[in-house]
Amino acid sequence: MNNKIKTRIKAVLAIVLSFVAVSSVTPTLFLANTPQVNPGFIAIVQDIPAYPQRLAAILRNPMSPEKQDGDVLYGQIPKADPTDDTEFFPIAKGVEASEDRSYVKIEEGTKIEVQTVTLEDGRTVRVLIPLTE
Amino acid sequence: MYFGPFFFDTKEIFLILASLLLGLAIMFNWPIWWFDKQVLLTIVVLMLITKGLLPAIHNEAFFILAIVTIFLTLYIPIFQVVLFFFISFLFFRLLRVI
Repeated sequence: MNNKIKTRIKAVLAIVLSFVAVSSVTPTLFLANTPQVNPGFIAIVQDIPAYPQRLAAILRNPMSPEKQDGDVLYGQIPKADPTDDTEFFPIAKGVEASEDRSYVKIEEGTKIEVQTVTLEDGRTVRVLIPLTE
Repeated sequence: MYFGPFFFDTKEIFLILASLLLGLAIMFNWPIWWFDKQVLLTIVVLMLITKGLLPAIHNEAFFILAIVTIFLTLYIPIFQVVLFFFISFLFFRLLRVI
């Protein structure tokens, strides 16, 4: 095929591809046709590190989405090894804390509600609230 | 055509003329059917910048893209048109058109 025709075909292909890319990606990536990035997309990107945990959770509990969520959340709670002489005191049903509140021990089977709270300084933190029922 | 030390080819002169006409149309409120004058002016400015960066050998690909982009301003929002214009250059590069 003539080199010039090849280039024209490739140019048209590039234009079609970019049109498809723009019309399919823009609504997900940007907010209402403005350069502002969609917060939903940011949340998806921030969730990427949890994908291996989610996959493992799906494999462990294929039929129970609730248990899957619980497993993912459990994996995200930071773990620590307190010293042997650390004393724990009950602060809620199934939850104990060390005297200086540096460590929290949660008994297996304790139901916990997760809430996202925005602090006065603008930080967003996730709070675990034990359910007492 | 030379303006001082700068050389302008026919297309660049026509693009500059188009942007001047659009500027006048906006200033004197001349109607341009279907097209949004500000959108067109934005696109023409972007085209002038990219035309300045692109060697004259790629004029044909640039011409096809320019025509399609101007046509698309009739149908899709300006933000998508601008994205389309820049992403097309990326695909031009990937497919070795430019």
